[in-house]
Amino acid sequence: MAIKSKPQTPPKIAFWLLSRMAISGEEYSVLGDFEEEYFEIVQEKGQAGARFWYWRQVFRSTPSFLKNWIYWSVQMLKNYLKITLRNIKRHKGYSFINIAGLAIGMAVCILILLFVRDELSFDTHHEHKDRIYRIERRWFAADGSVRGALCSVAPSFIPFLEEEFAEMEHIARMVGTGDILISHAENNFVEERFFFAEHDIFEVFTIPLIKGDPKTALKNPNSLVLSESMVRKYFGDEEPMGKSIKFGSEREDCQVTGVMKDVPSSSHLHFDFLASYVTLKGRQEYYRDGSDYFLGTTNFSDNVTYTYMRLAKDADPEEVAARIPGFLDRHLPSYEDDSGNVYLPHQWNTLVLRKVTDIHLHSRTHNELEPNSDIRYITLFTLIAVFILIIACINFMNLSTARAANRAREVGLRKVVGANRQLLTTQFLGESLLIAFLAMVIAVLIVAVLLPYFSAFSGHELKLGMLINPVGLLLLVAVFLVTGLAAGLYPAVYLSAYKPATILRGDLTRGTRGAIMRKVMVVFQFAISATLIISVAVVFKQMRFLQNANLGFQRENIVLIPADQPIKQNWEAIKQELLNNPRILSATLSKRAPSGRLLDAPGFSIEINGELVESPFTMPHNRVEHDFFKTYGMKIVAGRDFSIDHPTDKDEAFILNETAVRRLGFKSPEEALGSPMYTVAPDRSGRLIGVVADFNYESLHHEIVPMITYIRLLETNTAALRIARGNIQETIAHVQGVWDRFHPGYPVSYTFLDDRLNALYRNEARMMEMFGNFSLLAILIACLGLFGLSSFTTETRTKEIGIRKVLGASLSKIVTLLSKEYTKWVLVANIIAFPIAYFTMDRWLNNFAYRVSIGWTVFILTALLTFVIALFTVSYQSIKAALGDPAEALRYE
Amino acid sequence: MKDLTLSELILLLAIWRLEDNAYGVTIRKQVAEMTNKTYAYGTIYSALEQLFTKGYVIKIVGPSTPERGGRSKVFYRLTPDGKKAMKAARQLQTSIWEGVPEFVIDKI
Repeated sequence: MAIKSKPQTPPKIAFWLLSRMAISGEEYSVLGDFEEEYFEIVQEKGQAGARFWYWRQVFRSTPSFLKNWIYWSVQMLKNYLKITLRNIKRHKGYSFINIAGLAIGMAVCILILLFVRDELSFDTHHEHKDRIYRIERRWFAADGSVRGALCSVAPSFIPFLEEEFAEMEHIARMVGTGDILISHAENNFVEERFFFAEHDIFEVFTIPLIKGDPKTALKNPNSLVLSESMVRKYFGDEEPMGKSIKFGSEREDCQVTGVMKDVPSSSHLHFDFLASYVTLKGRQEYYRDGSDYFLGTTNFSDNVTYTYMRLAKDADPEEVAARIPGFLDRHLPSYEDDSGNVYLPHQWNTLVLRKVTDIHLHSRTHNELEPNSDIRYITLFTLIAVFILIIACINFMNLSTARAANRAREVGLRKVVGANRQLLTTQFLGESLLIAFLAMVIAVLIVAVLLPYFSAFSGHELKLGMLINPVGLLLLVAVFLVTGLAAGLYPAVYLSAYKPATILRGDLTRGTRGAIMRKVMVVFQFAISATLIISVAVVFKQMRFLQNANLGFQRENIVLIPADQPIKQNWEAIKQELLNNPRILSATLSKRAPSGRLLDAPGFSIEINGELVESPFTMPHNRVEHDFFKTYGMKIVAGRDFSIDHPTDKDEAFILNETAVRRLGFKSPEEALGSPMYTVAPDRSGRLIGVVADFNYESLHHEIVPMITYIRLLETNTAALRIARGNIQETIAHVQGVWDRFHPGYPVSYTFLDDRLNALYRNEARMMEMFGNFSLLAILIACLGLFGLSSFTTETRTKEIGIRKVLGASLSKIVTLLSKEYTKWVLVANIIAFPIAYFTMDRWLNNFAYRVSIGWTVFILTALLTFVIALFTVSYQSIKAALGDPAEALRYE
Repeated sequence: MKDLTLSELILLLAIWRLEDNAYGVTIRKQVAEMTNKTYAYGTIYSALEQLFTKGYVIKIVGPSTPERGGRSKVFYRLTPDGKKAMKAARQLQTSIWEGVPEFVIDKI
């Protein structure tokens, strides 16, 4: 026989293809048949012909093989589906726990994802969102730390910026008016979303105009662009374009030159009225010195314009920012402190470019236009979503592995008839995916039902429709897949590892394998739960403290009303008329009201022991009218309050707070009385006539700062009335009557001081309420799992319990025996949770200048609570088992 | 029992004719001989698989054979059900053609 020179084996690739495709379990016979005929052909026609034949056969066979493969896959799937549904039906209790747990977990996850997506989408509706910046201003302390930050700048910066920075293609200044009276025909309303804006605002922001031309709408003085909803409010069906509308207490006319779409809710800034900026030109009543301050002077002290800028396409924002210090040095004066240190302009302040899309989550300046959110909340909620999903997945894993013994026979049989491990893993994974899918469907239903409530209390306009887009659907699929796989992987691997011989011999001890793993999981679940409970408890403690803290003044029964020019001019008479009503106890005017920020600090000087000290620290100026301290119920600790009996008080009297007196180095408030004092803006000199007890003007996030108070009616804008308890409507009706006489057509819009104070913490309160609710759900899901797990272990021990009862064990003994197992682990979980919760909450509390201490009671109570919850969950099953008739338990065998 | 399709009938007949030697290669050759058409292995196998699930044939794994790279053959045998189905098919064939003389058929 000659040695064959060429290999005679069939073509390798075709061989491999065939082996992949052939009917599973019979590849060998198919390959054998092919090879047999192949060699026959080699004999007849030689190698090449045979190879050709082999390839051709493989190709021609492919469709049939594929059809066969699909047919069998469908058959298997049908079988899996049948078994899964049968299992769900047969073990209704467990299935309920599994599906309900997963569904609640997923629902929470979807809600949080919707919320997070909405938070992240702020200000993304602008076409040039990546190139829009807000120009902010920051001040530095001597050591270089940030002393203060405003999101507005002095308007005078802008002409210079435009001149020197060609990259800033469009800059638009905006000035907010605060509460302003708007009238058209019979319609008079006080509006707050009114801004004077430069016409470039249309170049910077994307503001779709329904009517009017963005190029010209805000070009001329006294032009006004309204939002759609304002058109409806003031004009109804009437055509607004070209019509006249009156604004401000002077009832000045302006012409409607455009109608814009309402600003979407996910914007850091909402405006309903945009009036042309040039309307401000030459106006005295809006600004005290310099008629063209708004258009730009060389005065950079009052930061009244919110300024937005669009950068050129190819400009590098970092490079632009790097040129700002030099720019400031050219235009601002240096500053010299008492010790003679000179600070260059860029050393004491700077301009910051903040990307518009970063404002909502990252900006925390002192005068944000609207309360912003915080990226930390986003992180917190995402974490909670993940935790809740983990807890739900753990339930699924624990219950599946605990009940594995019930499935063991199925696994054994499947293996005997030829299922391999891969096939079984696929089956169990498929099962968990199916359950995850059912849970997902239920979750989406839950979300649909809960969304309106959730939207209302999260303060976001969330819609289910937000899910129906590629990203939303992808998120849904991701949640579904991650849950299904995470929950199913461990049980799948665990179940498929069973050895058929062991199972079928009946050697398998029920549910004991993996018991350690299950305990670890329970500890993990309850550690998360306990951490959440402690955090929620501390948060609520702090929130209660904030809402009830003694602020140094009486917060109840104070009504705040905006006061504009006509009110201030006639204040003496108005005050008299107000006080004629016995329900109004006291009335005053002030620049701001406690609950606002203290920002104006133009400097002061004081003579201490004959020596003049100039602004040793910054001290906000509180500009008020006579009865300020009396109305708010603040205590004068030394000297006296302002009084109309001292006619000089309104021009020459100052009152400091205790902190200021202390910081100035006086040993007691009395010692400071009578010291000569001076202020720059307004320019006045006088004496210290009294010292007021410290009170929290600002929110409790901030420490009490030194403060100077003096009378200056001109600069006030808020009227505060202390009223008698009860019958507010009648009191307000009286106020409206007085207003009608002095300021006709101006509707009184009032707020209560305590509402405003609570509003300071509204963001926290709202976030924390969500936090509390989600934590509750997390605990609920964990309990659900524990309940299932304990009922299962109890079930497996039915016989043991029966025997124990027959031998005389008491009810309490049995309950203890059964409950001990899991409650013990819950306590371990607490011990793990304590340090984690302590450090996290301590960090959160440090955000507040005034905070509660965490205290050990929270920990004890949490431990007790989780212990009781766990005991309650577990003992329901054990008591049921212990009360059962032992005869029943022992009957079978 | 459902009526056999023509291809099922052909396969069953081939297996029956081959008696003890019905496996992939021989079945394919037998079918080719009977019908004057060659079928791809894939078609044969999936059809056999269908017959197997319907219970008309059983599979018997034979001893390993050197000429097939050491792989065993899988032999197919008719089950009583298979035989019954075949006979029923034959009966159906004759009964539907009954009374139609040859020369008439030629004219069709």
